Amino acid sequence: MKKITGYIKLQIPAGQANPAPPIGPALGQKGVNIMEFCKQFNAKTQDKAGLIIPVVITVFHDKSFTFITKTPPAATLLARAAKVEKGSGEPNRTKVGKVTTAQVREIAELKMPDLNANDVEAAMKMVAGTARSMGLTVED
Amino acid sequence: MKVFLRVSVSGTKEQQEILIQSLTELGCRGFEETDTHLVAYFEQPADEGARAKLGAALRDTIRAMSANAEVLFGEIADRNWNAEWERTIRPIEIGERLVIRPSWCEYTGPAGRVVLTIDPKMSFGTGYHETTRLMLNLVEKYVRPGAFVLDVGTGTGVLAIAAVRLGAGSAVGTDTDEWAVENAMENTAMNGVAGTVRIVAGTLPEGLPSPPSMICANLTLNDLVRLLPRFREVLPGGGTLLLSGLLAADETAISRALTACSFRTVEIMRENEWLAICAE
Repeated sequence: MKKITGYIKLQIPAGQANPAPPIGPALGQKGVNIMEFCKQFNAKTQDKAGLIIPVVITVFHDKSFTFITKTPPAATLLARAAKVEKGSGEPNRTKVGKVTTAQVREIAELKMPDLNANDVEAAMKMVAGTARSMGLTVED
Repeated sequence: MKVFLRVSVSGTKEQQEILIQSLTELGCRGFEETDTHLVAYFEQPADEGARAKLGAALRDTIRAMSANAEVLFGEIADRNWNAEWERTIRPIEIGERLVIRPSWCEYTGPAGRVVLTIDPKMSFGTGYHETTRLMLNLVEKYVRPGAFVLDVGTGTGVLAIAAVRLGAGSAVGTDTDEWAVENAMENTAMNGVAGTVRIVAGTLPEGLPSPPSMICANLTLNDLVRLLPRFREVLPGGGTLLLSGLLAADETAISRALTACSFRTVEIMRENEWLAICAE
């Protein structure tokens, strides 16, 4: 079994990895072949164009690596669903858009593998909380 | 030289998620998560006014998320981030006839192989990735004496250089990345083919001296599907198209796209989860 020397957590636009920061400095200082990571990441995420993809890279002692991608941030999915660019600076007073309960459920189901939730209902509460923090109202 | 703005912000996981969305809209190129902070990177605008505008927008956005967040701004100059890995490269034999070596390491294997000297400097195409090896195998097999080769997304220039060293008459390598363009030019000079391999910034250059008889493109499925109609326009009947950057899972999609553009698959080569296609 190969010895692990570290983990790197990045969030990168799908299909657009390149050696500029944050990828270059984060992987380069560990001696990982940056271009190989970019090639693999882009090939494996190109079907998610327009979304930010969290990725956890495991670096081994021999400078080899593996990575797993996670689901896009709930805020990104909510903004896309509500067709807004960003959340409200004053979410309690200024609402910038709305999402439906069905959209919240859809996002919760997508996010389930990465959320610390026992069931979809619990996941929906978390996603709805993020929506409210962004200044989005949740409507039926 | 490009300079990047580094913005490090403390906050809860939920705050960070919301911030990622907002900062992406401001042009953030990507994020690193540390135990306590979210670190965002932006390409620093050259124009002073645009820099000030970006700084103000960042402060407003972060303050809106949390008035108490710890925010640290810094700058980081672009450089060859891959240098540490590149120092580990050693000569590698590929196919029946090729060897790729870095300039600092002699090839001491049997004589008779065509030795290419490639120093990558943060460009793709060292021979250490499956797709480069697959493409070089196909170039070796299909390049015709005197051919004119167009290599789209040339990276280090390795495919264009290999094609000429294996008998092609001339080649043009293109790339949209400024590091790659500079690096490929250096590599053509180092291999004594700067007169026959021209490196151009862009994708499909206007005013090629003649229609290419071979096009090489080691990109991604999306890029290839987008470019196939252009390749069909540029490549005359009987010309050879070599494609890679494709995962095994991409085979159905690329096959459909090739058929739609009246290309016929001649051969598919595979290594691990990657594949390369020769079509005409």
